[in-house]
Amino acid sequence: MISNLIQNEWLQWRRNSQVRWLTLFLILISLIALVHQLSYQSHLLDTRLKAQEDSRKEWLSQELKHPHMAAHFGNYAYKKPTSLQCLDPGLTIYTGTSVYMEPHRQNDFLFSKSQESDTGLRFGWLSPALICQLILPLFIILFTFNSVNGEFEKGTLQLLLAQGVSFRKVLFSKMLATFILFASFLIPYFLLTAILSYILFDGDLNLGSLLYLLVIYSIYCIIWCLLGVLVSAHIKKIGTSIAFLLLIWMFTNIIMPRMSANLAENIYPLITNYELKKGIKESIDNGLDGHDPKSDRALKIEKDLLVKYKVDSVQQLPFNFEGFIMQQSEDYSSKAYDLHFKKIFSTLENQKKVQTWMGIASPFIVIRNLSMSTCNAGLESEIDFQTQSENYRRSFVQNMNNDMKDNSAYNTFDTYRVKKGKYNAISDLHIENKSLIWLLQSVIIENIWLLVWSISLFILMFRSRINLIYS
Amino acid sequence: MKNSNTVYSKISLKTQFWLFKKHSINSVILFAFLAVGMYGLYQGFVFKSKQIETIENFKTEKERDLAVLIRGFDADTTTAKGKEDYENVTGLLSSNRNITLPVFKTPSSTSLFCIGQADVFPYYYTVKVESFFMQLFKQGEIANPLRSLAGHFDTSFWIIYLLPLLIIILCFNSLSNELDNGNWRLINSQGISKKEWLKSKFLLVGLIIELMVVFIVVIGLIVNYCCFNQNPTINDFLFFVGANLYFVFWLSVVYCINSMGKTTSTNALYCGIMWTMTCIVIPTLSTALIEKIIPVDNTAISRMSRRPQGSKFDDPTYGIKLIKQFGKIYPEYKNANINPETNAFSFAVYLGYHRLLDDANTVKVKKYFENIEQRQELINSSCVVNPTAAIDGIFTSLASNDALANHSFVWQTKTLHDSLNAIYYPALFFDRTVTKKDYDAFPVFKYKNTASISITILVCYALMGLLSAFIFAMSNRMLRRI
Repeated sequence: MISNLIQNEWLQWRRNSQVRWLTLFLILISLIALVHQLSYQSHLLDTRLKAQEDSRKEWLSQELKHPHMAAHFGNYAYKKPTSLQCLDPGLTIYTGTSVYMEPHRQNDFLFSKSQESDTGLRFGWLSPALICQLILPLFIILFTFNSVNGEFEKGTLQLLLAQGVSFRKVLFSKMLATFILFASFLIPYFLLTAILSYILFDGDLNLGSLLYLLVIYSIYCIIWCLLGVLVSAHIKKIGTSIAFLLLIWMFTNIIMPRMSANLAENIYPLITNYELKKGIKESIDNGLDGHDPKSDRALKIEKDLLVKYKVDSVQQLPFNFEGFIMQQSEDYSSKAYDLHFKKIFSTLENQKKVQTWMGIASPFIVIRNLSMSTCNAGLESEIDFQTQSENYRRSFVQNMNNDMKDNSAYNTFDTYRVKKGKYNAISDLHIENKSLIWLLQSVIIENIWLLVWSISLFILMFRSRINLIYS
Repeated sequence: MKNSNTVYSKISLKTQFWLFKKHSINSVILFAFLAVGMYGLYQGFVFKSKQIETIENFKTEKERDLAVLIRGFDADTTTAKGKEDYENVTGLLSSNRNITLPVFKTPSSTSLFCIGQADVFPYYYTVKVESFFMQLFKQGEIANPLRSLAGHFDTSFWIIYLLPLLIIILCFNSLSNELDNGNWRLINSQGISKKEWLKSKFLLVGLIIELMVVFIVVIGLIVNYCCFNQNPTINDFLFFVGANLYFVFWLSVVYCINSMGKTTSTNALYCGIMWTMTCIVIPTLSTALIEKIIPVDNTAISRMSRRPQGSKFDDPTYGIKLIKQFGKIYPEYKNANINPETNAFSFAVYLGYHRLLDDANTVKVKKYFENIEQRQELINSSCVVNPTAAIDGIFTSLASNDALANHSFVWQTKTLHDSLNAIYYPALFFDRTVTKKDYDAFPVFKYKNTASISITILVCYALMGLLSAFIFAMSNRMLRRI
C-alpha cells in the first residue's frame, strides 16, 4: 500500500508543470553552485600552492646571513583548501588566508575572502552546502505544503481512509515519497561533487567523511520532509500551511542563525586586537604573573648559567649566550602568546557552544556546524591551522637561534653567517588535516540534536490522528 | 468620478484599519517586529560602542607613549637613564623604532544602523617611519568568523530581510482571503473595487511600516546624539530614504502578486519564492558572477609584509646608487650629504629603499583595491535586477563600513605616513638628529569620512522608485482584467 501511495504522489508531481519547472530550477542552481565552488577552489588551490612554493623558494634563495636575520626574513603560511571544501567552504571564507611568520611575534592571519568580496557575500556564499542547507528545505516545503490538506480539500484523503489505509501510513508515505525524490537529487549531487573534487585534488578525498556527510544531509532532508508533511496534516487551510512553513524556514534558517551568533557575541564578547597586543606586551614585559619583569628574567638566566657552568662571564660559556637568551626570550613570548590566544580560542569556542545549544531550535544551525566541521572548515579546523602554523614558526625560529647559539661566538652578530644548506635543513610547512573522528569530537551535541529533531518529528507523525485534526 | 474614488478609498482605509485592529494577531506581529527592530538597533549600538571605546583607549595610549618619548628632550643627560631617554628621542635609529603615531577610523553616525563589513576591516593602525605596506599588511583585527558567517542582526538586516517578511505576512492574502471566504461580494456590493480595496490595505500597511521605520531611525538618531555626540547627517537621511524606497518596492511586489487574482496558497507560494529569490538566490548568484568577472589575487600583496634585508644595504656602491636614484625621484634629497662610512648612511639607504619599495607597491595595492571596489560598485548599481544586495551595499556605503571606506582609510593613513616621512627623512638624509621642532610638526590624524552622496546612490534610488511605480502601474492593469 505504501508503495502505491508513493507512486501516486510521484505521478501527481509528474503531471504538475510547476513541479517540473521547480525541479529544473533546483538542478540548474545546484549545478551553478557546484561549478562556481569548484572553479573557486581550483583557483584557490593553484594560487595558494604557487604562493607557498614561491615563499619556500624565497626562503631558500636568500643570501647566507646571520641566522637571526635569516629568521627575520621569515616564511609565509598559506591556507590550502581541502577537497571536501568544494562541498562546504564553511568558515574559510571569513578567516584569514595567510600569515607572515617571523621571530618575536605571532602575526595576524590576514586577507580573508570577506575583505575582498562585495557586500553581497553577506547573503551567503554560493556553494553546494548553501543549496543543501538553505535552498533544499525550501523546495521540500514547496513539495509538501499541500500534501495532506490538499488531498483533504479534494476529498481524496477521505477516499483513501475509507479504503482502510491508516492516517499514519498516509503521512509516512507522503514523507517517504518526498524524501526518496530529494534523496535521488542529493546522492547524485554529492557523488558528482565528490568525483569532481577528487579529480581536482588529485585523489585526496576522505570517503568516510563523504559518507558521513551523505547520512547527515539525508537526516536533515528527512527532518524537513517530516516538518512539511506534519504541518500540511495539522493545518487544514493550504494558505495558512504554506505561510506557516515559510515562516518556520525563515525563522530557523535566516533569523535564528543570526540571532544565535549575535547573542553568543553579546554573552562572550571577543577582545579587540589592540587589547590582545596590549595584554601580550604586558605579559612579556612584566611576566606572565605580572611580577616577573623582563630585565630581571634575563639577569636571572645569566646568573643561573654562570653558576651552572662555573664561569665568570657569559663570554666563557661553551655556547653563544646571545643565541641562548634569544631563544629563552622566544620561549617566554611564546608562553605569553599561548596564554592570550587560548583566551581568544576559548571565547570563540564558547560562542560556538551557545550557537550549538540554540541548534535545538534550528536544524539549520545543526547541519551547518556538522557540515563545515566534517569538511575541515569549522572553528576547530581554523584553530588547528593557526596552531600548526604557529608551531612551525616557533620550530624554525628555534632552529635558527640554536644555530646561533651552537655555531657562533659571542658578539659576532655582524660577521657570523649560516653554513650553506642550513636553509634547506628547515623543512617546509606542512599542514596536516585532522581525521574525521577528531573533527566529530567537537560536534557531538549537533549529532544529538539532529537525532532529537528527526526522532521527535517521527514520534509526532506516528501520534497524529485524523479525528483530532479534521474533526 | 475622481471625487467618488477618493471617498471610497477613504472609507476603505478606515475599514481596513478597523479590520486590522480586529485581528489581535496583527498587533502581536507588529509588536514582535518592532521589538526585533529595537534589538537590531541595540546590536549596532554595542558594535559601535566597542569600536569607539577601543579607539579612545588606543589613541590615549599611543599619545601618552609619544609624550613620554618627547620628555626625553628635557632629560638630564648626565645620568645614564637621561642619556638613554635623550638618545631614544633624538637618535635616528632609536627614534625610528620609537615614533609610533595612531590612526583610527571613527564610526560614522549611520554605522549605528548598518555594521556592514566593519567587522572584517581594521579600524585603527599604528604608523611608523619604515615601509608603509610592510606595516599595513601585518595589522588586522581579530576575526570572529562565526559571526561573519551568520551575519549581523542590525537595523539594516531588519529592513532588508524582515520588513519584506512583515509586508508578506500582512498583505499576501489581502484579496484572495476575501475571495476565498466569500466576503468579496459583500465588499463589492458597497461599491469598492479590487483596486481600491488593495490600495487602502497597502496604504495602511505602508503607513504602519513607515511609522516603525521612523520610530527606529529617530531612536537611533537620539542614541547617536546622546551617547556618541553625533548629529544627524545627510547619510542618515539617505539611509532613511533608502529604507522607504526598499519597503515601497516590496509593497509593490506583494501588491503585484495580489493583483494576479490567484488563491491564498498560490500567493503565499509566490511571495515565498520572491523573497527567497530576491534576498538569497539573486544576491549570492550575483556575487558569484562578480567573482568571476573581476578576479582578485592577494598572494603578491600578502608578501609586502616582509622586511627588506640583505648585505646590499651595507655596500657603499649600492648605497650611493640608491641614494642618487632616490634624489632623482625626491629632489629635496638630491643634495644628501651623508658620509658612506657612517651607520647613518646604511640606515638612510635602508629607509630610502623602503620608500622606493612603497612607491612600487602603491601601484600594485591600488590595482588590488580597485578590483575590490569595482566589485562593490557593480553590486551597488545593480538595483533593478538585484535590489536587495544593491540596497545593502548602499547602506554599507552610507555607513562608511564597506571596502571603499576601508581603502579610503588606508590611503588617508598613507598620507599621514608620507607626512611623517617628510619630517623624518630630512634629518636622516642630512645627517642630523631629530629635533623637538620635528616632533612638534608631526601630523595628527583626523579621519575624513568620504562616504558622500554619489551618483550611483541617487540613480539607484531613482531606479528603485521607478521600478516600484512600474510594478504598481502594471499591477493595476492586471487588476482591471481579473
